[in-house]
Amino acid sequence: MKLTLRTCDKEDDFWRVRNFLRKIFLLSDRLEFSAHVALLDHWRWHYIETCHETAPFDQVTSIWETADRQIVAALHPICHDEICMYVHPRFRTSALEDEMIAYAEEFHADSFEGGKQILYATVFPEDTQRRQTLTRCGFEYRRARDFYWWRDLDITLPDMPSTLGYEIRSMGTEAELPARSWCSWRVFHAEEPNENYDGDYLWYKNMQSAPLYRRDLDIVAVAPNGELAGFCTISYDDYTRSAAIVLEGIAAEHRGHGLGEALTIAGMRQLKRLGCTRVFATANEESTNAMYRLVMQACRTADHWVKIWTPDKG
Amino acid sequence: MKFTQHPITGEDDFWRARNFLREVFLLNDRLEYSWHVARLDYWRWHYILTCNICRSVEAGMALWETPDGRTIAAINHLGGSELRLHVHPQFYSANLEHEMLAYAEENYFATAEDGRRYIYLPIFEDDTRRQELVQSRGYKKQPGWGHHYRRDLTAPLPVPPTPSGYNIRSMGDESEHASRSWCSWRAFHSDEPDSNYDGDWSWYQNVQSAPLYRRDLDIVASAPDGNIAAFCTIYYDDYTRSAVTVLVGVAAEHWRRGLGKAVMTEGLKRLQQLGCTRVFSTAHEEPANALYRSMLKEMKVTDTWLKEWS
Repeated sequence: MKLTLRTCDKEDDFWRVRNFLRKIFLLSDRLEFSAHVALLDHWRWHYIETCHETAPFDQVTSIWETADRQIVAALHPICHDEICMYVHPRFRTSALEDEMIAYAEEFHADSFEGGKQILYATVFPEDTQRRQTLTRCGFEYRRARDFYWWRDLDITLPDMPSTLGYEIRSMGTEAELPARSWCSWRVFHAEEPNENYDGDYLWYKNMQSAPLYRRDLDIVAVAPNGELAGFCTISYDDYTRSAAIVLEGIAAEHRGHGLGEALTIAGMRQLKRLGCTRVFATANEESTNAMYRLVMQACRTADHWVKIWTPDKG
Repeated sequence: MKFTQHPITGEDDFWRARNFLREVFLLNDRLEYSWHVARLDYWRWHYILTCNICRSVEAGMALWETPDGRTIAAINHLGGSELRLHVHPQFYSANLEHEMLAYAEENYFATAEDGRRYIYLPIFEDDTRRQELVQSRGYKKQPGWGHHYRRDLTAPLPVPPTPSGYNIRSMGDESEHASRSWCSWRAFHSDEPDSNYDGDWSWYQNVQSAPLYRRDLDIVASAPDGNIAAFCTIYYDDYTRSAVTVLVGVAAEHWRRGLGKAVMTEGLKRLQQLGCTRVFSTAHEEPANALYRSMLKEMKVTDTWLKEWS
């Protein structure tokens, strides 16, 4: 079948890609062979809007369409040298994946030392076809680092651990944004001096602008002294009845109280009330991984496949 | 093609019906020839859970499917025998609609005091195809209208002044449910004695349990004394990029201060920020009609078609 490749240059295209992801997510039995729509939102409203990891989506997202404009594949970088590929299972061929990789090498590779180029993709070990494609295109396997957890919510949830003195509740109003932002700083930058913190909390408004953001699924832990001690921000997609934890963390001075577990379980309870039947979370480091091991049900690891090459000067 | 028909059976069927409505809504150019998914949520979490219009979702909705299990039509009732038909446009046929109405006439009718059975449904005044079809089954047009307003949110919104002394904001936490429930009472039952109010706000928790509920799209106006004076609760579906105002009201003692317009405008503004491109509101009575006429751009009228038989 003849497919047309083009850049998503209209706002409408972005929303079509979102619904495309939802459809292939259902066709993949709701396993993350393609990204959950919540992660596409997080890329746009956090990685791009706040972190400026890539150019705006309409400059870097490409789609492959059938003659009747049905999207069958999409591709975009997620940061400076990593790509995400989404392919409709019924249209998945080696030729299409080869074309997507060739396109990514041309437009999404980053500069690497010695005038070389670098590009990488994350692949599940059981995705033989993608591994073969990448091997054929000169990519090399790197050891697994990413842990993809999930839990079905139609089974009994774990008991809520005691969080003596801490209150678990929904994120408050705009007045709470500075405290929320400071908490994030203490989670992700605990080893840096506090004076490095710029006090700008507008990034959080970007998070709240994502279409799947719901304040009642943005769960926070409040310490006895009133400061925010931790958070678990969940995006729920009621089309696929599944959710993804997009941000989770405990401020350094509040670790060791079971807050991560409590926040996640509180979020799961709220999700269940809204009809959600599966929740996902990703961990890249051991402390988060250990926490998800307590509250999630199953896990898959994903490998990195990297290509470093010298561009053809001709 | 031969279709099979069955009442909704179980949770999975309900969620499939939700996504079916979304697909059909897009195929109908996002016009309300079928229900917006928000209305299905409101039907379940308010009309059934709170108002008990029927004993369960299963008792109120039936689906038609292709042999491979694809939903192509659905019918449900709102209690009191009021029907809603939802048909996939590619599978429309007069035979299918006859079959759906025959099912409804057998299962969803109500009985009047004189023992006669009746059933009715709204039909757009420009939908001559369905009008002719129901006429052939003995339905007759009755007094009673529905005004179905909509507004595309692609252009900037007008900014009405915030009524002095009121705070327009998101609905608060659980501690505010009592005030919110009382405001509803004063908005929709202001002609009744306050002693009739039962003080039970559990109905509001049902509204908040709907999958499309978001507290930041549940806009309230709080009065200088801190009590809630007005509300605009919106369900937004980011799949179809469209929304419905499911509850809009102003407590009687705060009428004529522009509060309805203020809470709606704030809601529309927030919808725009979330990528919503079209919003719907339906009015069946004059005060709501006047508010929506001032806020929303376009409107379609439905007439009521009734069938009575012995």
